[in-house]
Amino acid sequence: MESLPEIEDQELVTRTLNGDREAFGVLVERHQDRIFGLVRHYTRNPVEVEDIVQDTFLKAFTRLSSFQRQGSFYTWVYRIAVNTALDLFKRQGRNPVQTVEDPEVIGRPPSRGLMRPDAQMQEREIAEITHEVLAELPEIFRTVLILREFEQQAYQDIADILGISIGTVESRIFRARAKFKEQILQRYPEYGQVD
Amino acid sequence: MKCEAVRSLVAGYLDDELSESQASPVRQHLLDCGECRKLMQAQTAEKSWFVPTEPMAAPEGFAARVSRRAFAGDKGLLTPVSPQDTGGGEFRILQFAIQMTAVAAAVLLILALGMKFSAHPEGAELRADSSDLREALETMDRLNREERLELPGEDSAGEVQPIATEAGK
Repeated sequence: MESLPEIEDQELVTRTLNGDREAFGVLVERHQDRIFGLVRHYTRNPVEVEDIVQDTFLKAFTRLSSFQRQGSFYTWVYRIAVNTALDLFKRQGRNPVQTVEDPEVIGRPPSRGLMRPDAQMQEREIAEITHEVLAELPEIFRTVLILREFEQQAYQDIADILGISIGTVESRIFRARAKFKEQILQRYPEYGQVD
Repeated sequence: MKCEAVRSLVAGYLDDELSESQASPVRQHLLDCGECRKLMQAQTAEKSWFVPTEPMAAPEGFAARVSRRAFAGDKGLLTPVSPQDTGGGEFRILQFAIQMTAVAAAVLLILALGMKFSAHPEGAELRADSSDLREALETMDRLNREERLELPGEDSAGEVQPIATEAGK
C-alpha cells in the first residue's frame, strides 16, 4: 500500500476533503519549509513568520474545496501565503509604499550602475541591506523580486501565484529591479559604479 | 542579432527564461558585443545582491499541530500581535483613551448645545417694552380725572397733567 508521503498533492487534497487528517498533515509537511522560506523575506520576526505560515495553511484548509486542480498546490499555497503576509502588515499599518510610480512619469532611471556587494561583506550583511531596501519598495515590486530572486520561481509560476499575465511579470521584474537599484544607490551611494 | 533585441532579452537570459533557440543567438551576440556584455554584467551585479538566506526550518510537530487545528475548525484568524510583543497592550490602552476622550467631547458638546437652546427668555421678552407702561399711565390719568373731586376755585383747566414718559416724548 502506498504510504502517504509518496502520494501526489492532488490525491492528498482529495483525501483531506474526505476527512483524512493525516493526509493534510503530509501536505503541510511537504510544503512548510518553502512557505517558511518565503515568508521570512517579508518579516524577520520568527514568531510572526510562524503565525503567518500557520494561518496560510489554515486558510488553505478552509478553501481546499475551491482549489483548482489544474494548477499546482504549491503555487496556490504560495499565493495564500503572500496575501496572508500582506494582509497582516496592512492591519498593522506596516504597508510599504502602495502606489507604483510610473518610471516614465518620474523620469530618469539612475545613470550609474550598481556594483556587486563588497567581497569582504558577509552574506548576512548583504541580506540585511537587501531586505532593508526591499521593505521600502512598493508591494508589487517587492513580491516579484522575492519570488524571482530568492525563491527562484519561473516567470510562469510567478504569473500563476499572483494571478497575472506573464507579460506583466516581465514588466514588473524589469521595473522592480530598476527601483531596487535606485533605492540601494540612494542609501548606499558608495556602491554606485564609477564610469 | 541586433543590440536592441538583445537588450530586451538579457533579463530573461539571466533568469533562464529563454528557450535554447532564443538563448543561443543572445549568447553569440554577447560574445561579440562589448556594450551588450556590459549590460549583462550590470544586471548580473544587481542580481548578486539577492544572496540565499539561511533556511528557517519549521518547528517540531508544526504540521501535525496545524492539521489538528484545521480539523478542529480553526479558520486561521490571525492575531496581528504575538503575546511577546510589548507594543500591543499599550496600543490598546491608547485606543481606549482616545475613544473615551471622543465620547466625553461629544457629551460636552451636547450639553452645551442643550444649554444654549433651553427655555431662556427670548430677546424680545427681555427688551423693555414701554407701550404697556404708557397705556397704564394714560389709564391712570383717566381714572384720576374721573375720580378727581372738583374743588371750589378749580377750573377744568386745572386738571392733572399726565406724567411725561420717555416713550411719550
